[in-house]
Amino acid sequence: MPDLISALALLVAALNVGVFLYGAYWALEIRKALAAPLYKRQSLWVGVIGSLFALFFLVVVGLSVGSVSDVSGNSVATFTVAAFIYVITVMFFVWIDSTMKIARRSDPLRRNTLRWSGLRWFLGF
Amino acid sequence: MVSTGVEELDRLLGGGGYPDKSTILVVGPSGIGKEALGYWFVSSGLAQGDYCLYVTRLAVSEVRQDIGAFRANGRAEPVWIAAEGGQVKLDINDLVGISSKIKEALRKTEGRRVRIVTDILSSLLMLNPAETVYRFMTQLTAEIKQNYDAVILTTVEEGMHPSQVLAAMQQLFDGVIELRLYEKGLRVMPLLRMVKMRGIPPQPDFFHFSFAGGKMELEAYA
Repeated sequence: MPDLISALALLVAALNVGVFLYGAYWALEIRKALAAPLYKRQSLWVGVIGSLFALFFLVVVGLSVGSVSDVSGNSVATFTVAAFIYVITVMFFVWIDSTMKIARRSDPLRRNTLRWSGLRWFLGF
Repeated sequence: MVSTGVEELDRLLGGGGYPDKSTILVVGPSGIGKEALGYWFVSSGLAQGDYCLYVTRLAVSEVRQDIGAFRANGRAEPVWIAAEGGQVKLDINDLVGISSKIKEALRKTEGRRVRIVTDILSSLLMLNPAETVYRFMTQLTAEIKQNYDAVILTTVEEGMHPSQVLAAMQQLFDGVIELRLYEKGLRVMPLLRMVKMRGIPPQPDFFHFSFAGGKMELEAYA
């Protein structure tokens, strides 16, 4: 039974890789057809984040197939994981930022939703 | 005829451009480049000494940023009625104010031909009942066309308004240009179509368009 569950989890992870890669492909393809920089930027980041999710599930598949040893005592591995999490956090912020800018542009009253411009300034963007 | 500022579009329109004293509606999804048609129209007008008025719900800097993406030169300086950074400040909630500010700006035309570009229509449709906007546009454009040798180019977002509102809006304009994203297999391409234009037979053909070297290029698409 545990084997069956593992196999199903692997299948779902593999499907997710396909779905996110498909989404990322279309986002980047639509980007080519757009002209306005704000919208091009948003499509780019949707594509990047889609690819990132695909990569994440690919890693899940890889970890499920291969054997993983405990890295908690390994300082290089810990640093790598911490750096990876930092980069991912920044990428997520840029992705959300590109969406917020579009939201503001689309708002007829150009409201500064969640005081986003102030938050960007605070975070140094 | 009044040049569109895009050579190939002028050719498509029978050689001269938009009809005299006309209102043109450019319909398309966000980000596709509707502003480019407005910008080249204004740019061509400034080169010919026309009085050019840009009425935008955005800040002037935002419009300039969009224009920069088309690799067009940014030297053209129309009179701006804008939310920020223009000669006159636009309040999108004030329909009467918008109308009077446009009319006030047009008093300075000194007999020149007038070109007006505006992107406020989608915002007006979101903030007001459609009937109010129809009435506003009809009265304003009729008054401008009656008193000035003017061509008015308006952009509107596709997908933000009910289709019957857009269809009714198209009836108010002398010309309608549609921009759309078209999926073909695994590719997406921007296409342009002349839905209608006063004095020109309907043209059902689509054209693939792109921006390169400070120009808009059109290519027949089968």
